[in-house]
Amino acid sequence: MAPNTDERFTRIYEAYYPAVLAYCARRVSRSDAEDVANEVFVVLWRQIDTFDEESPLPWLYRVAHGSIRNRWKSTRRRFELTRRLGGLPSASVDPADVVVVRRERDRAVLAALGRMRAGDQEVLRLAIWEELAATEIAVILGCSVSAAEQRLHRARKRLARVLSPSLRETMSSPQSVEKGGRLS
Amino acid sequence: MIDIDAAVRAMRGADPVPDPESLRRFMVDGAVFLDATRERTMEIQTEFDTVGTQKTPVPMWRRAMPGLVAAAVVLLVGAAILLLARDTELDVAGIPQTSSEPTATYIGGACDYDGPSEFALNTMVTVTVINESETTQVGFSLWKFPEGVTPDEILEQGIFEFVTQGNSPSFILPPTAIGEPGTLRAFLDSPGQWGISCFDQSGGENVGSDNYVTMFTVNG
Repeated sequence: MAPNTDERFTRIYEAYYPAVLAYCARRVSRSDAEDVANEVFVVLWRQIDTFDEESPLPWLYRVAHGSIRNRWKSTRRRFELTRRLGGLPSASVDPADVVVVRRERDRAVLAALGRMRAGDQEVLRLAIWEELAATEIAVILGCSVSAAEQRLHRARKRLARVLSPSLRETMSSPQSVEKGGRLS
Repeated sequence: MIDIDAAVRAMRGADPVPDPESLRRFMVDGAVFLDATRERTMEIQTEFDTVGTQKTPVPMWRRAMPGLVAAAVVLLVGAAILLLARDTELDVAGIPQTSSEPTATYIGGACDYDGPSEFALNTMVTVTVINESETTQVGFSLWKFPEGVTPDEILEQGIFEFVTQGNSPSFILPPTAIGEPGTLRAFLDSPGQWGISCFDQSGGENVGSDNYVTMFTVNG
């Protein structure tokens, strides 16, 4: 490839790798997060000629989203196979259990988030943690902007509902500090 | 219930990576990363080429299998449609029909219903369904729901929480083409809450589709 392609790739990597790694680390374990982030940039390298630098993050997040989804599917298939072969209880992958938990209240919030539907969790993370607008969320989820807005609106309402009991409990108890974060 | 802003603030506060810039320490130099990426891309290509050259010839009967299966499916579906049509013709005789034809339109994130909110028991209802969203992964169904269940609960918990042997769907349309009307038809044979479900599989991820339900009542 031409040298300017190398420069372009390096520039995009240096500008956006932390954001992509953060996206992944909010959803999967630290080691998986690095793998997925690296995969995203391998895909970028292969498609760099058609990559649109006007709006890079939604594209990069969308690739990461697909890669993580494939990992969940293969993990689920593995669990299912193990269960069938060895009679182990069926296990579900909860992305909220692999992230860093710093405080009691955060733990309660992440646990409540983990109980929500996967579609709600994702739209909330994109809006609140990645701070994306509905137009960008629509690109990542592959839906219309109005559908993204609707999903976000409903998910926010449901978040308030599921957080109500947890927050009331943790607000009335002193917050404890934990160590052992993987990324912070 | 806490207000939505407080919930959003709590979730923002629980962000496991509040400062993505702090992850720069996990990065390698851009040029080093580029070399590694280039190597990885070549490895993938080599793996692909190796697999491609090691392909064993597929026996003739296996190559013909997809075609045979597809033909069998087409025949079975055709037979089912003919049987349904025959049954429907027989059923319709003497059964009250709805005077106006209700419609349900999926617009992405919501199911719009335009029709009566109440029906008489033992009525044959025909609903025109249209997908006007931007995804083709949309289907429609007509169900009898347990009493007291709300559309929000169904959207939140998934439709299969509310499916029992006694209230399985009367009819399901497969994913539909955008803008192309389809028809749901059901005999409203028990009083209570019935609903039309617009199910969107495009953002379903690993837990199935989003079910946007609109309800009407069948009077006893």
